[in-house]
Amino acid sequence: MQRRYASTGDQNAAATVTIIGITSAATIRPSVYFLVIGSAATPADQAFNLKIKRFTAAGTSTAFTPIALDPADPAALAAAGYNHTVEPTYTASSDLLSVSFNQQNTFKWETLPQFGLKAPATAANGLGLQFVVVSGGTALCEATFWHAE
Amino acid sequence: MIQTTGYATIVGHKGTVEVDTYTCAHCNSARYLKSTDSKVVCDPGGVCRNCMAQICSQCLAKECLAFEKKLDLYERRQNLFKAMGLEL
Repeated sequence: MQRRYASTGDQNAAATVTIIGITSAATIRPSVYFLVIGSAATPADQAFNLKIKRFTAAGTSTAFTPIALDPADPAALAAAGYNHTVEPTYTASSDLLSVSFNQQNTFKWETLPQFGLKAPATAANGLGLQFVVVSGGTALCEATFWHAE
Repeated sequence: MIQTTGYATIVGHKGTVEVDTYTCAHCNSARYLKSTDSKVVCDPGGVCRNCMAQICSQCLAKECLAFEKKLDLYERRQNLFKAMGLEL
């Protein structure tokens, strides 16, 4: 069975700001198969659009060490980061998931690990969850990725 | 009939909307298949007649290139750049 890991992070909602990213390594192809996101503060009655996109450089973020869902598993080879201060270098036309909803909602998506959104086995490449449109409000948002490798 | 391989739940102040999803075998994007809310835009996609895999409507008109193959090509290109001293 594939090894599975959880990574969490938060970010204030603003257009073209990344909440959380998974950075690949030369030896694995991480597959993101679970996402949940919601506001951790008092959310405004406003909308936002979020996308999971590919990046080729990870940018600058707060590092998060992925937590193994099975404590018997070794440390993850992929790395995670959240609350980006320098945006990753996103690949154009690489939207793997685009979702729009009210900030007062919570959104969850999951699939089987083998059907997840995969990143290549290339260092510094990966997948990022980015606010693309924020109609108003700057509520703090929390997001969780589960990935398999 | 396309099989669902994933599941999305949107919980809000107006109730819960549930959506079946699938992952396109060519572009790897996650797509909504059918929803409990008729306002949610869904993409029924189709089946690639070459690799017989589920693909989205955007990939229907394109040639068959499985996502795993795309990743292989991507990695080979990166390795070539590295060998040429052009590592990005």
